[in-house]
Amino acid sequence: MRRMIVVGRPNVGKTLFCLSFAEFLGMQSVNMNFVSCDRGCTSRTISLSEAKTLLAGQREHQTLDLQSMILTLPWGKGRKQFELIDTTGLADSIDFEPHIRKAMAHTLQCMRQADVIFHILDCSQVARLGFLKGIGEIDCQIAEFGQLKKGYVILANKIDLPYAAEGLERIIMEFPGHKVIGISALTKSGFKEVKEIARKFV
Amino acid sequence: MSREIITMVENGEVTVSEALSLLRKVGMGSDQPKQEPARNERIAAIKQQLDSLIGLHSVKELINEIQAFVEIQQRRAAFNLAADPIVLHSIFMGNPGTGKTTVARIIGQLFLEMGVLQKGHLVEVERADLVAEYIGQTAQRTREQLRRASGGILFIDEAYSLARGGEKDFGKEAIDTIVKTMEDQRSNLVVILAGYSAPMEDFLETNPGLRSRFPIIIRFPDYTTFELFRIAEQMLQQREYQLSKAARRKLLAMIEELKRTDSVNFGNARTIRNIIEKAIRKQAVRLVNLNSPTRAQLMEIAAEDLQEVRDD
Repeated sequence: MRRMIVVGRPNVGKTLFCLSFAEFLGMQSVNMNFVSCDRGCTSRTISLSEAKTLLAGQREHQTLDLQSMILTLPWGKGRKQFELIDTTGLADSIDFEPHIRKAMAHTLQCMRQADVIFHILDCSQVARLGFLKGIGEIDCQIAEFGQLKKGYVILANKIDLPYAAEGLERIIMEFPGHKVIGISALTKSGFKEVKEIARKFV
Repeated sequence: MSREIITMVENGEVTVSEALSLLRKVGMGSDQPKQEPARNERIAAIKQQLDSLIGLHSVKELINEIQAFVEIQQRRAAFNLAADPIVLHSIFMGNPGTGKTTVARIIGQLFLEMGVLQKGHLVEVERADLVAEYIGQTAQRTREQLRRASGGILFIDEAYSLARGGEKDFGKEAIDTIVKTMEDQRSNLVVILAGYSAPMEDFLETNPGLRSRFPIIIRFPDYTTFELFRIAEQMLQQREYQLSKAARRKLLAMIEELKRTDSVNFGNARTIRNIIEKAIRKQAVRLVNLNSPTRAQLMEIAAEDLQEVRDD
């Protein structure tokens, strides 16, 4: 089973993307594994609408565990499964909270082992703050790192916000040679393309 | 190494982006999973190449067996289990044109990818390359060839000719040198003795020590008529030619006839190649005087092109 990991800076919408994507694939509820870096692993089945209110939100570093779920894609006449892993946001600075640092280290570890990386950027922020501020060094490093992988895709999130289209254009310009898809985790636009990509690597 | 980098992030010694660039530099993007599929894919590609050869079912099966054996011995060694030393010296027996050299070449690539051999190249030699005219030079000359083949495969065609000259022949010296070297360099040299079936059997009978030193014996069966026909079709396809309906019937009949009449001297796939190449020349002669041959005409081999083709 392929492991696809969702990474990005804090608060770009990684968790919401994961949950919406699961919803897009026709799931009503998912069995989610919460793998914590020090407290072991818990698993619970949770309905997607509940998960959205519970797990996704405005705060930074809301996700501190790796949250993985098994999703299925139609494949030929049957179906194929893959694991989608939601991670802690990777920040540029060194966080003073040890548990956040630990969670980031855990994310890095998981990134090394994953087959496919979905790298989420916030294109509304690029439009608002300009490329250099909207995209950190961390994003460039992730993009470089992604070249070692079988699959690496940039998902420019929050395309539904005003001026986000400009941000998307800028991102496409700045990451030549990488596949960039504009999506909205909220409205599920662009998800069809993501699904195609997932089918390619699954 | 990558472990340490991740611990450094945990301890707040480096930022995540620094850690990522370090991880990338270490080339540990994903140390285990990254290398494994690449290697497996390459091996699969080589086996695909082997599978694309027409016929040769028993040969393919045996090579699969060998590959699995080597793989498992390597894995056992990784777990510190007793692993048999891998001795891959082999004997290829088969009539001319049954694919001995082709298979040897693929095996070289396979062993290279599996890490048995360092270079995996094929050095093809025959008696004249190993045996010299004067006393004392044979060992030198043989050793020279062995040195060239080191890290790859030494493929000795018509190996029985080394033992043909009788008691005083230098061929014996060459055999001794080869046997000595292949025992010494067991891990980095594979010697393949190839030749036609009947003389090869005699050769092994008269040199009883050899059979135990070459544990793998691969027999290349003669191709069946239909296999030969498919080989011909494949050759034509590679060259972008096509047989017309009449030509197909004719070719089948020709192969049938050849197999029936001179089964001893029949060159199998090699004869087929000669037939095809001759037919292509005939077709060229037929078309050269046409004003503007169409694409279809340029591709088609007609029955008349196959007419006088005969192996000589």
